Amino acid sequence: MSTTRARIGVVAGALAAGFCIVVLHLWYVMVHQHEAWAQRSRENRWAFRSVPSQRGMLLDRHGRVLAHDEPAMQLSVYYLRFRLRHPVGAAVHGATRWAALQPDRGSARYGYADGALGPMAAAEHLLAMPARVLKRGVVEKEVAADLAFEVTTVLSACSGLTRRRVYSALREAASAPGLVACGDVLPMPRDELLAAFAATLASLRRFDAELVALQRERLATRALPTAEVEGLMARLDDLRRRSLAGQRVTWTEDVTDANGATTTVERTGSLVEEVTRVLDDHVPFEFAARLRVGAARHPGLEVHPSIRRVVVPPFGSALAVLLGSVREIDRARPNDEWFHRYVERELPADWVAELPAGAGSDVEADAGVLQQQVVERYVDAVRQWERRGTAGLEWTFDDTLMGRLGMRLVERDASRREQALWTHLGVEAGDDVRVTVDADLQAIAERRVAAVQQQIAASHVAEADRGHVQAALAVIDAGTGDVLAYAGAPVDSSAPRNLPGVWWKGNGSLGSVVKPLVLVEQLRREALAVEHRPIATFDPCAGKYVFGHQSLGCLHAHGDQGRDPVDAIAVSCNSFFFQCAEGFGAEGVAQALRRFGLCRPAGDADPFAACWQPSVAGVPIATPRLSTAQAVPMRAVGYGVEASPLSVARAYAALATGSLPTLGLRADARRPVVALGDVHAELEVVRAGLRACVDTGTARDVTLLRHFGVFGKTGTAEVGRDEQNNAWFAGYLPGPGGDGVQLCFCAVVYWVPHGVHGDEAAGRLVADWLAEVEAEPTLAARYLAAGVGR
Amino acid sequence: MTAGEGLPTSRLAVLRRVDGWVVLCVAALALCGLAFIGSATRDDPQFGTQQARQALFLACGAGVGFFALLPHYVHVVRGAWLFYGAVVLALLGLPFFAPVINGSQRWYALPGFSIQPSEFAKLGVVLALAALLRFKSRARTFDGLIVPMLVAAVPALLILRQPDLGSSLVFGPILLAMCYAAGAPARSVLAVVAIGAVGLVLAYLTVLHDYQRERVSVWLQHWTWDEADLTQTAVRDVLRDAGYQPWQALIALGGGGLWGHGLGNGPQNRYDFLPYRSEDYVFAVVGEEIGWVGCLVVLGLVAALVSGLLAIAMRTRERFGRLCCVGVATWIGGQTLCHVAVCGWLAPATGLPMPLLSYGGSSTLAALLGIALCLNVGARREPILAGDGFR
Repeated sequence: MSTTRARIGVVAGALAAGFCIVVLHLWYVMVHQHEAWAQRSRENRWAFRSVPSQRGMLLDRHGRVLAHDEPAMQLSVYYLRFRLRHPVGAAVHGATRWAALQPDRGSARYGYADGALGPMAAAEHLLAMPARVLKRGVVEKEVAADLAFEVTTVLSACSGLTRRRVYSALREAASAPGLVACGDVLPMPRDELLAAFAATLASLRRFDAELVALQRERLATRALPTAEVEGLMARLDDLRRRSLAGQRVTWTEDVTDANGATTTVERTGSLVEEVTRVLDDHVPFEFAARLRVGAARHPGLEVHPSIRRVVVPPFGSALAVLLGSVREIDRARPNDEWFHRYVERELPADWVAELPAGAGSDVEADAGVLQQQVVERYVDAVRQWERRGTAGLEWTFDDTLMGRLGMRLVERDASRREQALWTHLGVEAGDDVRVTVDADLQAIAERRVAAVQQQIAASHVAEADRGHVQAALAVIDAGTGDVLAYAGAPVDSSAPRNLPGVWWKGNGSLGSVVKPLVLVEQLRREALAVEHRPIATFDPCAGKYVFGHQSLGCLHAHGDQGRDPVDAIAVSCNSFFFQCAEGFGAEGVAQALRRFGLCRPAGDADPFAACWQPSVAGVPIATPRLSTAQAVPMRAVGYGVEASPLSVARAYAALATGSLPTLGLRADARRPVVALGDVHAELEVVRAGLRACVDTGTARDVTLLRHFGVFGKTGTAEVGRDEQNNAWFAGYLPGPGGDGVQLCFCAVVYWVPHGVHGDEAAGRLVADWLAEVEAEPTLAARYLAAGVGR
Repeated sequence: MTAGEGLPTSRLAVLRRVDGWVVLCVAALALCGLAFIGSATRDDPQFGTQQARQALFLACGAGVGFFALLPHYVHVVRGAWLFYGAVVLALLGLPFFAPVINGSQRWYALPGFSIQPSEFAKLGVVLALAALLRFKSRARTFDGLIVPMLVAAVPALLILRQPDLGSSLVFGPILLAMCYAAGAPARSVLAVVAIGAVGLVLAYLTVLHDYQRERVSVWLQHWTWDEADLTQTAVRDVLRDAGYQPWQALIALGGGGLWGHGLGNGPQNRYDFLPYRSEDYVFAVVGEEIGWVGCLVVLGLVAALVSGLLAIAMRTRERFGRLCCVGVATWIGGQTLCHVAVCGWLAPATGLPMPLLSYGGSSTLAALLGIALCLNVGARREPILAGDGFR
């Protein structure tokens, strides 16, 4: 007995040992490793749900909407579902799988394109497959299971019967004697099933055709090539190939090791077929709604709500380009610093510290851990859901326009259903931004610029020259520096950088439009008796001027007009300004330009440092530049001086008001104005010259300018060969209009034929634009002073 | 009719000698089971009735157990082979009459409930082995163990084919413990172990289904994983697929910590992450909701029950009764250990209920019947005059 007891004791001991092992293991997992498992438990159930924000609107100076957000629908394909649940996908993959089991057809790969290996042939082939193939032991179990699933999908979709019923029929037929084809296991003839399949396929193809048409139409409105639109079927075919190849998503990541060395590592992710692929970001509601109704017929094609940015000005207009573009952040790829700034601004540091009391002690204890994760998750969500401006005003005012991504922290169950809300960060729409542009003035400017560009292009004899013609018109408020209109033609890119007149700085010569600025310097130096050559000592204009060993030309022999400042401006006498430059030298010319912000200051001590505005927020203008390659007298007549029309318009605004405004595009922003100082007397002389230029001088042929009382100056810079002239006209209206805005403008036409001068090209552009403004009563009341005009 | 009126006093007198500690342990485990089944199925539209049904099964089991206590267990010896034969027949009939549920044929569907013969097969094997091994001579040689091995192997293989790997594995420890307790030499037991090991390898290579092999493969892999591996796509795919159940069970256990989240508050349980949580993973719910300390209490109850049964075996001189107690104790103890090991991923996922704690009518009834038999053995104090065993 004692032996038996001992044996039972051994059994008890063995069981006790087992108990000890599991208890120790449980202690290790539950106590020792508790934190790690608790973290995994949290990762299982804690979820951040994001709500994308709406961007603020861009409005013109009178409140008209220029760009706004609009709800849209995103169309995507989830290929795994498509190939398993859509009859067409299931037929293609099922038939390929079945063919692979047949020795004579092993290489056949069915696809979505029409033909002998198209979807219809796939369905016929699959439905002709004997049901016995699905019987246990006939083919490999996994292959049989996949085939059964695919055949069930096709039969169920084509017969309208439930999957369970179809599967039962297949099982029954698989076990039955004889070779019953899968297409014959249901009480419906195979022909009818194939007809139903053909109808589904036709519906899918119709959908494809409509989608392609939609995308082509959208590209056509943007003047982009439409030939490269990839339709749904082509995308499906690509995904089919990747699915069959078991291809996975790959990406590269920079990994920094302990020594700080960074290496690029290729990572592999989910199967391509398991990743949702976007087909179209913005399909119209009607299109998406139809797909939702027919979702049962097209499983795998999904529509989700999205937001799209609608730009009101027509695509291809300069204003649309100036407004810029918006992209999803994951595509815009901002740097870490951007994210850091965004998170710091939008995500309260103690957000998850506000968990409700009812969340439990465990949750409160976890809050610290959660806080560590929150920034990372928020950045991920921002990357996935938010959009940012990538160009133009959308980029410049992005901080204001961009809203705050909403996020809630929830507990979710295994089916991803939300079970508890712990805390949330309310979504906030971005603020609207009112810009200085007047949409009507802009529209007229764009029309006129395009017209003059066409007209000048047509006047070229050589076809090659026509393509080079570009034109631009900048209009600002002389008092505030508000940019009212900025048009360029042709618009050959969606980037403001490539908009003529914006980034383009000409071909190195402003021409005679700088003469008034030089005259101010000359007169000022006379008044202060600083280094100069007095005008009284100037030689009369003989049509040329000898400077050192160089002979410099003037258009005409102006005689004594070349000794009178007003006449010199009016007739644009080069000799006068050569002598000015000879008198005060290179530094004098530079100072003349610095006073009006057209040359970089010599340093912080430069008295005109405050006049320098190298950039304008929202418009990537070319920084004005003075080239020293040109002889000093030539600089005084505009050669070697580079600036965009906006900068020239700013300089003329100073001539009009005596103060140099700061250019800007934000309507509600106050910007500094730099007084030119005690130069009133000098400015009066210059203004007289500008008026004389329009009345009797180089711009006299453009009679409309006189009617508007324009003060202005033409400029024609001949650079390179004859056909590469710049035609300029800069000026301003005599006073403010009803809105208190004094229009100041600068127009340029580049690559004008020989013999065409600033007045004929650029002066006429301004005149025609003013005429159209006058023709619009509202605009006339706003911008033209009473009594001004015809 | 009261028990006292309807039954002879001598029969009821046995109730006074029933081991109260065992009954207490069983009652405590049953109540724990009810509580955790309730927690696991609360608000679940599909399984919401399991707690009430389990209570009904327990009541039925208690009733059947009560009546099983009354007749002298000597009568059970006579019916042991009959019971075993019936169970084997029932197992043989499963492929023909049982519906396919979750890919296996384990249950006979009857109106309102279903019967799982494999649970009764454990009791059947215990009874048959006790009936065989009650003769001392049989256990002394290896040849004498061949028939007991076959007795255990037949239902084990039939259950393996259902397929139900977990249940079929329980027969191994039962066979070993009963053979050893019956006096089999250690080398014979080791030989049985070796044969069992070879059988397991053969079964792995030939009988096991792909998904079962995959579970074993994932179990083997998981010992090598570290934190960095868990971020790899391949590992994450495994954890979403073949490794999902044990991984979620581990999260539940590990997340429970020392004291747990509280009854009904385990997030893995409450939010559906834990599969089969009222049956195959009920211990994970225990761990998540009452922590390591609670696990210790529940395992302590099982250990107390098993000790109680083994103590009865030690007190009993009569070999059939003694072996029955050893068999039932090993069955309950071994199955509990397997269940906990699966929940803690010490063993591959097999799908084995925890006796008295997991939901299941057949499992509960079979366990209670087995325990009642042991209590019956313990309650008989008559000396066996005919020597060591019935001859």
